[in-house]
Amino acid sequence: MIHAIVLALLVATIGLAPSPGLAAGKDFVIGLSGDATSLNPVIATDGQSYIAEWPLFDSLVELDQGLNVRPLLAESWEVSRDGLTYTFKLKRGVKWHDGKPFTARDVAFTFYSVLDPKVTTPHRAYFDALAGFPELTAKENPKRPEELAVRPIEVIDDHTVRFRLRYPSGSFLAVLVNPRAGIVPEHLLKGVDLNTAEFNRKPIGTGPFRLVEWRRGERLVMEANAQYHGGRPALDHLILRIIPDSVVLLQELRAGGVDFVESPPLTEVARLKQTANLKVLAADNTSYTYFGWRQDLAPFTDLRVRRALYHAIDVPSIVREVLQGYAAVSTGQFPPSSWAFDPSVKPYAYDPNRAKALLAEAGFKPGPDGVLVKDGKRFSFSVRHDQANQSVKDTAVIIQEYLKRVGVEVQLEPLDWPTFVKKLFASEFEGIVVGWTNHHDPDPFAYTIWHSSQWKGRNFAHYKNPRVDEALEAARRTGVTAERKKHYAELSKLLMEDAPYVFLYFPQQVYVTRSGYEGFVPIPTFAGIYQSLKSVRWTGK
Amino acid sequence: MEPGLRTYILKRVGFAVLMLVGVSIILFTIMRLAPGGPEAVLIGGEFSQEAAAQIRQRLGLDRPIALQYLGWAGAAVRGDLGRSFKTGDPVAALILDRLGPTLQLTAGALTLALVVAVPLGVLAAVRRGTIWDTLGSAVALFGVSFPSFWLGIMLILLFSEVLHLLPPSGLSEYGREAELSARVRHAILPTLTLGLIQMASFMRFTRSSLLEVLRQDYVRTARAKGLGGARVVWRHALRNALIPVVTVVGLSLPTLVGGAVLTETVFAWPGIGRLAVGAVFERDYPVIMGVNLMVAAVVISANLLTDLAYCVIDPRISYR
Amino acid sequence: MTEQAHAERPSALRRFTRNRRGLVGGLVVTVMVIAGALAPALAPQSYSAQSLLNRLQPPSAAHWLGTDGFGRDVLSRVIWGSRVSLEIGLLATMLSLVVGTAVGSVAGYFGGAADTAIMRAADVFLSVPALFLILIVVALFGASLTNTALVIALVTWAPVGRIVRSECLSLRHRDFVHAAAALGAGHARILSRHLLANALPIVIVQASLLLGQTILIESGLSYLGLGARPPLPSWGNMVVEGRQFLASAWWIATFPGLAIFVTVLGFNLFGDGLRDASDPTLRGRL
Repeated sequence: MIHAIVLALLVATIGLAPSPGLAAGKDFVIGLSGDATSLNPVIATDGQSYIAEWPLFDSLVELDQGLNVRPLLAESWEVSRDGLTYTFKLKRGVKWHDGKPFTARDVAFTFYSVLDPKVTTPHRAYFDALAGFPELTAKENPKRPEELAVRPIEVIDDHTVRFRLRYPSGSFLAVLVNPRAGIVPEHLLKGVDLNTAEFNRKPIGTGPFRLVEWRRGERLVMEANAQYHGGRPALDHLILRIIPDSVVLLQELRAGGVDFVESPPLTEVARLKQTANLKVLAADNTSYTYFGWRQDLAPFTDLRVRRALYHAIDVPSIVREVLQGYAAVSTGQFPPSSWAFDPSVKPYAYDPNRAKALLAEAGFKPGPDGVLVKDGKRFSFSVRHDQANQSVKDTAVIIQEYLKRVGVEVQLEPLDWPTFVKKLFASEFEGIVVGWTNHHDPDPFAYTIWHSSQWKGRNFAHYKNPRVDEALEAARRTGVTAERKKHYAELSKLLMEDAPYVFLYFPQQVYVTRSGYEGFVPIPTFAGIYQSLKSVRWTGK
Repeated sequence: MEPGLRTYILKRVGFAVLMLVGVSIILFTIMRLAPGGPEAVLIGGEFSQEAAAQIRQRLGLDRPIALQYLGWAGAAVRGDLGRSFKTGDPVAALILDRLGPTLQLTAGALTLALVVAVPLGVLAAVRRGTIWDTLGSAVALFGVSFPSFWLGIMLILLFSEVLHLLPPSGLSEYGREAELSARVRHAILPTLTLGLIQMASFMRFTRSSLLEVLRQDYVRTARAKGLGGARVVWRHALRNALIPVVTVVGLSLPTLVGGAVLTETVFAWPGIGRLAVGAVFERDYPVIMGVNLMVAAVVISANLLTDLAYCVIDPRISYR
Repeated sequence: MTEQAHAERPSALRRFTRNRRGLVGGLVVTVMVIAGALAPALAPQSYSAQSLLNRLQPPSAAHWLGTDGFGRDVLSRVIWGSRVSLEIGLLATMLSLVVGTAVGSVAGYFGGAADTAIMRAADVFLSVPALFLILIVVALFGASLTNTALVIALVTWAPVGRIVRSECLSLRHRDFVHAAAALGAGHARILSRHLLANALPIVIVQASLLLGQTILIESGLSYLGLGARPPLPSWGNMVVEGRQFLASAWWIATFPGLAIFVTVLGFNLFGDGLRDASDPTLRGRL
């Protein structure tokens, strides 16, 4: 027994693999709060996998800070008059990390894989506009691409690929960016089951960095790709360390164990700003947090009640005190940085008296314990939320307090993520506080959240408004941005009038990093600063 | 070997295996009966019912429970504990990976606890009623009343935030994993946290056990026969008093192997305890089953071995 | 031995009152129970009233124990927290005692196959780390009062069962039991009147120690995020909330933990005192 203990101790002491030699400044250590699940852009869907994929894979195009599309693997493209055909000319001389050449066949393979019903991926829905989509993705007897009259993706030659759409979609280009549209190599994945491929743990991409090592639950190590078509990145190594505990993460940052942390607890940011060798970066984002409820449950069916709930909550104060100002007050589905944003729409002001008046109008009277009562029923409901998201948790507690002040009782039910998501999509809830990351193009989320046909999908709140449906469909049918903008403005006005949710805020993306690293370009969407890792460099200041 | 003894051994081994099976069935059923599953964790933010159904099918979660259990058990018997739902890594490898840090922590704490508790407990029992007894008992009582996570946090507050003497968490500093001095510095606070509480518990037990033995007739007889005080204590009493102490140590075996969940959480220690907690929250059934099975197997085997050892050592114990 | 205890019982109370530890423990326990029971009246402020401008204030005249991340008064939350801890603790302890006593007495009295079977079942529960089992059940099925209390009882009944069993085992061959059987008393009668009555002092002592243990377990669960629902404060919850502010606002994590420590200490002291007073020969056994 003693021998076993001693042996175990020896093994434990010596057994840990040493970390790669760190060259201060030439390497960059990112602290992640969780491990990636798989490094295959076609199937990965969690935030950590996205972050890890960014340096490894390229997409056809990428976004700039204005959310405009610009070339990446695609050098140029042509759109036909009717908006149904997109022809891309690909960059020449691009190589995969294993040295093989990148061609148009890889592009076709990637997107046919996304459409393949045997592959488990929610990214599929974003390519709804492609010709033959319903036939290729049908649950019963899906067709194979060869069987279609009009092929959605066609390889014209090694460096030219053509996409055909079934309706002119203005958002098509915007969908062709990471993280959903990273290109994967056909020569490694053809005939392989993507869901369980070994490739998912040993990825080969065309990105600025290549994977050197992945120790599960511990770290991912990447090194610069000297053959990168955009030029070798300035950094030598990119190391992603997995540290699930947020308190420990910050300790490591201060102690020098990591150089970069995203989304620090906002209460700590003031202190971090004052720390000598750290700096805080903040930029707008398309994430949003809202307080919602089932639209088809009483008393939420009464417009006055919904508006009252909106008036009862002091959103600007939440943004100031809980989020330390690192958020924008929300007025609807679109953040201020989106072109679909309509500045003329204003949220309901914080006015608890008005809230009480509206509730009284709706027939509520104060009960014996201070909670409002109508027809013998107390105004009391449960609010579910993700227990792991600190900002959402804090927001929910504050909302509970504000509603209490106007006589509405809220029971908070923090749930762990698996249970919460399950109940959400099964519409098993009364009230919810949720934070999502929006797509940078207005259509995907706006349609799936508000259209009455999507009750089984993202419209789990069961919202139904024929005028909203019209606006959404009209926006989808046209490819002209100015037209879409008009319809989305209409949508924003209708939503605010109807007050289906209390649209809370758009949290900014906040990062803390070691001073001396420069070159971060925050893109106000998924990409964050991860898209710019190829241009981050150490200046030593 | 006597026939009675052989039958007894076979019976005990048989029971042990039965218990192991029982534990696995109970756990398996509890997990499958629970609402929610690993799909939501695996899919993350882009949840869709369609993807969820596909994942459940791929992981075999749509088959009847009995079939799922038999599948798992059949593989487990051959040493294959399956693969983690989340990472796809073999469960056995995951466990072995985390076993080192956990053993390091718990073995260190156990050693600390025993080395301090036994002598102190003996001292308190032998010098009953004096200042040693009162002090020792008080310290022990305090020790078992501490919540382990709070003790850990207070230690971090004192030694790390205020005094800046020791690191606040983790196994080692990044880039210095092979350096023994870094590893030792990081191990001090968690070992102390776990060890202090165990020490208090062992001390109380040693003291009370020894007191009881000292009161027994045969000790009084030995004393009456004129044997010296110290000899009486050390030769007769202590040996007998230590048997229950071994029992208590045995009772802490699950913690020893399963990792002290709370301590590991507070100190972000990458051990089995945290592996298990993470697996529970993420519904990673193979990992949960694997960890629990391993711990149960160790404990049941240890108990079996102890029982068999007693059989051989002490012929007074009857075989039932 | 038992007849001795019978004869000495009148002076047990006197022995208890002379036992300083037991008295102190009893005092602490009483204070905590009163705090929990009278929380609405005792707490100076509401446990949920937030004041976003007053966040993270150190202890002061207005807030004796400071304010937390939402500006809530820590002292009031600590007082209310005792309610939550004691509720679960009491329920779990009662369940544990009932199950342990019932199972242990059956095992000890009837012996033989029943005994073996029961003890093996108990072993099953003891071979899985307690916290794992609790974690699994509570995380998967939800952390309601009943769930938590039930599963804590599941992992703590075995020691009680063991003790009651050994008591019944040793008592079952005594003369007075044979006499009662000869007089025609059925099993149930013998069990409840004679054996259990004699085992009662031990069980009561165990109750106090058990309460301390269950409070520790419950606060550990809260720490892992499986405790009372906000804004209802539970001590474990408060400690984990306070951990992120350890460097800047140490009071948020310190005082609730102190409350746990003092309460458990009180129950342990009380239990020790009870044990010393009820039967000096029991001192060695527990």
